[in-house]
Amino acid sequence: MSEGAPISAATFGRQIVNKFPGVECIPKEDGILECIVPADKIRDVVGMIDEEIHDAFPESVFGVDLQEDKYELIYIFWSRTNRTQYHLRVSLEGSNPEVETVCDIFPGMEWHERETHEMFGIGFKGHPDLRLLLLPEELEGKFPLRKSFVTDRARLEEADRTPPKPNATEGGASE
Amino acid sequence: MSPDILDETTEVWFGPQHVSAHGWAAKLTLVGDYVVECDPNAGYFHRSAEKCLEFRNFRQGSLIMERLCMLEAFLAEYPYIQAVEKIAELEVPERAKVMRTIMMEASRIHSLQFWWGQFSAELGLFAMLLWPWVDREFFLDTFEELSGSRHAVSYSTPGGVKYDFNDKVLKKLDIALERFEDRMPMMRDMLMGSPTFRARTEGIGQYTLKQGLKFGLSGPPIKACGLPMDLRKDAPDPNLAYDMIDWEVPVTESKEHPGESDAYDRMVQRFKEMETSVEIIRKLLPLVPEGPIIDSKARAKANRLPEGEAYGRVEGTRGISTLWLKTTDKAQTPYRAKIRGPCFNSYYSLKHLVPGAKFADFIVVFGSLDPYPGWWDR
Amino acid sequence: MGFFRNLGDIFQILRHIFRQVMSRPFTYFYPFEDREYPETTRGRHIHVRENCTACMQCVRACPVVAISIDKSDKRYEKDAALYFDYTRCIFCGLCVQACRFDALFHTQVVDISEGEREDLLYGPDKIETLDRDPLEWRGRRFR
Repeated sequence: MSEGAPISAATFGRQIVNKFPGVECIPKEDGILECIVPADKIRDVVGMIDEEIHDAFPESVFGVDLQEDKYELIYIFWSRTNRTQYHLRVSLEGSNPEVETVCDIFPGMEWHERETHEMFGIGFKGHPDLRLLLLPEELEGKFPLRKSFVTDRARLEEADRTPPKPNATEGGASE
Repeated sequence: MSPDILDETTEVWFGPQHVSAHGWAAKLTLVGDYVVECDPNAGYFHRSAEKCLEFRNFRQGSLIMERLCMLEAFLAEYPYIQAVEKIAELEVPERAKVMRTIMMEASRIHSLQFWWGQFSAELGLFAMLLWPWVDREFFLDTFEELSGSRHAVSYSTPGGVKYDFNDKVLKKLDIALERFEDRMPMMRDMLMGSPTFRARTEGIGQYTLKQGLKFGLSGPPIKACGLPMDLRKDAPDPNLAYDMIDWEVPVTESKEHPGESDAYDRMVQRFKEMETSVEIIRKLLPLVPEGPIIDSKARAKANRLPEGEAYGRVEGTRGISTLWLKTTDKAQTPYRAKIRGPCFNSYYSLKHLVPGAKFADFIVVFGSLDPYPGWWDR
Repeated sequence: MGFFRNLGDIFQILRHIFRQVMSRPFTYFYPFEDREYPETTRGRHIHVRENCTACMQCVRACPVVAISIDKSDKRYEKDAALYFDYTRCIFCGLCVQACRFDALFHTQVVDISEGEREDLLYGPDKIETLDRDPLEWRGRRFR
């Protein structure tokens, strides 16, 4: 394995922007490079990370529910040579949004994508295996980590604790 | 072997009732004695920790984190604490930093001792199951003297630690370390020198460094390939005391297959990890400064956090464990918390590492990655 | 020479046997003996009612909602009755840390298992008293 010279976060950010003009890269403190990537470019950017950074380590990919059918996907990679974390953010809209999978480039992302699929209902085009990973079968299609999923709040009321901000309206009822 | 055996495939469920498989199961497709396909199944322990974290405030959240992996409780609760400290911009007193680091390393030794015993038992060496576990009791006694609980310690809190060192704790820690240093080399040589052990582990579950990185393996499985990827050194945390002392990241490089690691290398690597942890504790113990153990304003500050996002990471026993935290303004609870357990990826990588191995070697591959179901089921 | 070497081996074996026979077993014969628990042990709670101010901090701190409070039940000036549900309690120690009036403590009593579920719901009478001294134990033998 060839040891390349370290590439700083700002330099790599510029390289990405030069190659893919739609991407926005913001180097942050603590060695974080934050890239805002359009949904159709994610495969290209991840492929570029794979080519340019020889020790890219896929840390995780996960979804965030921003409510009103808006979601955000965050891909995190870590490079030891560059001492940089690459946070790739993808904004998605719609009730069942889709992006392309990256699990053939980084096999370690396969289960993370599978979990995101069952928890948020975000589709991954080209993913080989989108069965349920952690959830039991009766929760299929209920997407428990969405904010609209109503959980059992009996104990919260008992404790007189304020429920979390998002007001739940519909979704899978657990009781 | 008659040829028709090779034409037929057999499906075998390994777990969840198997004794080595408490809480996980893998579907193995066998041809003869060889595994051709492995499909690890997760979810038997799923307790929706991420959703639970959304309903707990910032002092209670670490309780859920430490229950994900009781063996490395001091390490497992830390990513959450780190993320909260980053968002709330809390200052941690020097004494708390050093104490945290010492206890995290003690918990690393204790976790590796547990794994070492269990791995030996999975190979059929049952005497070696109990010997490390006896030594492990002394670390548990230390944790109990310090925090009042043997496993669920709930030690760190945003802005410092909850329980202070006293003479009894230091004495018990010293007893535990001395006993460990006294007995570990003997037992290691006994285990590693055993021809049975070598025959069972050499060349099993072998992968290259590049493959390991792509599978998302971290910690000892990667360091056994010769890459010193260790967050303690690479991304030093200002709230921990690893940069106060000199120490080296242990690395194992095999002579037979440089740049690759097999089950034997990973075992060697973990023994080196334990030695490094003892060295770190021994060097840090005289450096514990006097002072408060918690920032006096931490309690008020951690009550409601400003809007923000933070990413807490720690080099756990089994690899990089992280927590991504997003808060809304003046929130009492997180908006979203994502836990990344190191074993999530190591359990997944069985899918690629096991095919081609013999059925009896499946548990060796599994055990050598040091998996803990709590980390992947969450 | 072979004879002496064998003799040496036999001596080693004998030494090992004597050490194992003479040494105490590492485990405890539990229902009849137990070890001493450190002072910091997070066992069942005790509620000191004289100091209690009914500030509700323990109820708010509890992550599993194991504590409930009855403010109308007053014995002193501003105290309240606490109900502990030990089927829920995880012994995390947050309630004891939250108490600023020295009214709630952990004890060293950890063997609180019961046959009936109702016996684990500790009412105000049960939570204020210890039915036995924490260092006295039904096996009567500490090692």
